[in-house]
Amino acid sequence: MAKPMFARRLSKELKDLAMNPPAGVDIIDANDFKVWKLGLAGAPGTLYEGEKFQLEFNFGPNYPLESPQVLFVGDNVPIHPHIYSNGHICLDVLYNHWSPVQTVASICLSLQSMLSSCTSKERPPDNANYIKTARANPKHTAWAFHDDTV
Amino acid sequence: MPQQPGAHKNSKETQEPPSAARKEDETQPLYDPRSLQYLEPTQTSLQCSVCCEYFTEPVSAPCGHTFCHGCIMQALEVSHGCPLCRTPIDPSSLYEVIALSRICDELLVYCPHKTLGCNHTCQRIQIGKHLKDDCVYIGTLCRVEECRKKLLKKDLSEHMESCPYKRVDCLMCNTKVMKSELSDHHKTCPAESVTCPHCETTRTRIRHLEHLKECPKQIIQCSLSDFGCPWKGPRFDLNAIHIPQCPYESIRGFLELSKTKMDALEQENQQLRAIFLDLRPQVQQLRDQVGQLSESFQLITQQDTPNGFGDAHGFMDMSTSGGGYAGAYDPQSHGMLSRQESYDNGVDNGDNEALRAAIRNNSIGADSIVSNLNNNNGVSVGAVDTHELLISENERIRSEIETLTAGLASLELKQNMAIMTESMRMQEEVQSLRAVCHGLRMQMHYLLLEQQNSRGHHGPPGSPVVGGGNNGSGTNSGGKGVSNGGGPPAGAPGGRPLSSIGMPRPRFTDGLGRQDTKL
Repeated sequence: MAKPMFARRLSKELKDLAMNPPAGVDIIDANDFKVWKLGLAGAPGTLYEGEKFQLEFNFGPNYPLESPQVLFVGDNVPIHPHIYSNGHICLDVLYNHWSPVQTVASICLSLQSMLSSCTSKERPPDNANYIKTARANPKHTAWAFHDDTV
Repeated sequence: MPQQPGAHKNSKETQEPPSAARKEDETQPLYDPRSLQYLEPTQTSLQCSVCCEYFTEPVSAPCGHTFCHGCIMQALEVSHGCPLCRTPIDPSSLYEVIALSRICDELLVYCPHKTLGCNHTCQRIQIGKHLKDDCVYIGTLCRVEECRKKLLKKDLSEHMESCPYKRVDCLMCNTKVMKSELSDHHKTCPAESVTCPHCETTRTRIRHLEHLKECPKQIIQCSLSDFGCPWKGPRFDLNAIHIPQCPYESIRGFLELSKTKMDALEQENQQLRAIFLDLRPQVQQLRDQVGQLSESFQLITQQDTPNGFGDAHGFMDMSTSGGGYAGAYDPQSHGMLSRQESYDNGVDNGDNEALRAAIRNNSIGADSIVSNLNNNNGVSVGAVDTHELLISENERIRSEIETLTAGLASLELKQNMAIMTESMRMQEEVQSLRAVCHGLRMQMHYLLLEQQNSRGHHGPPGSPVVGGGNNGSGTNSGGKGVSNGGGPPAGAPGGRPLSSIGMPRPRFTDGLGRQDTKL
């Protein structure tokens, strides 16, 4: 009868997300507690204004103790120095700086701020090489977080 | 799946008041404290930032952040810092926040069985007691052992009224009967009063059964109805009226006697049938065996006839020995002897012939027995005796043939071996001879070459004279030169062509030992 922790938290988060979503975020598909698809709109006044992106969240049974897999999907993957063309995102809080107090909404906010602080739309310098070798799950990549400016 | 340590504390509280609850309820907690629904779900300041719910057993870290005890312990297993500020946390440094714990325990919650219809609300700390004692929407089981139906507590008393497994007292016999079986019980209850259908008197069922055996008005058949008396009537009339008149009564003795006889015969018949059934497969088995034996016997006689004169000899033998069985068997013993000899002689081809002859003799013996038997059949001496004799003879002959064929096979093997060793020796000899020939050829060749050379240089005249003079000593030097190994071709061009010319004659005529010719 006891619901597992991740299910209880995700149902709560979903309710919160539906009630008062962060700016530019809308739920596309969240029918279970495994995979969610969210829409993310570029914030006005930034390089991505008017663009629409799709985010995919994959939750494991240890959520929120372990981070979900988060990546951009769909046709439009934002062109950003920390986002590879296969949708993988180089963002520390998604990997080794994850904390269980983070939520789907807080990840969306982090991504929104990452996009907003971008000054030039370009792919990461090692994009071509990375997408050839990368595994499907970005959590299997050994990330090096070096750039704190964007 | 994450555990909920908070569950322990609360379930302990719920179990404290001793009550008559059953074991099933005690083994599992009555509710999941983390699934409780609060009347006010939005006070985020009282919520744990890991599970996003109201604190359960709140503990604080030295950094000042507060989490549920269970949440922070699980989070620390994954990473060792505070989930909010990442300050390293030692689990032993966590301390309970009693005031916050009280505040959270005083929050109002709905009964977990709200969906089933319980509208009770109370402080969180009270909910365990409510579920234990008051809530009628909690699941329970019917108390009757055979039923064990799952139902809500509120429905229990209603169910107990109608539970088909509930025990009910039979009012007549005072035994406990399941409610569902009560109506069936009334049909068999021994205390139930029953009216006799014949004499219409009433008594309890247990007495009624006895009464039926003697009810004077019951319609019964004549006691001799088995023998054909058609009379039927009330029991009362049987002895009084019918028996004196019954035509069967007068021959009753005879009828009973014949009946006992019939019974005995039937029994005997059954016994005999059982014996018959028992014997039938045995007979069939014996018949099969006889068939097999006669087949094998025919096979042997057919194998023997191709030996040509076998039959004739058999008859001849029989005639000479006066048709006696022992005489007919004699040739076989001869065969044995010759076989023995052939073994002794070993690898001689001629012995193979002897062996064959022995086998032939053997077959002659067999044939003679057959003919002997044919004669016997005509004279009708005990057929069984002949048959047995034949079978035993057959066996003996067969074993004899087997040993003979085995001997033959071993003989052939030996012969083959001898041929093989002999041929190998011959081959070696041929090879050595070939080597000798080759050596001689080489020498010849060399000498011819030498001769040509000497002729070309010195001219033919005078040479024969010199060669002749050198004849005696030339043998020795030539022999030395050859045994030095490869000497002649190396020494030939430079040194002494004259003496080497003298060599060939003595060498050819001498025919020195083989080892000398090996170059």
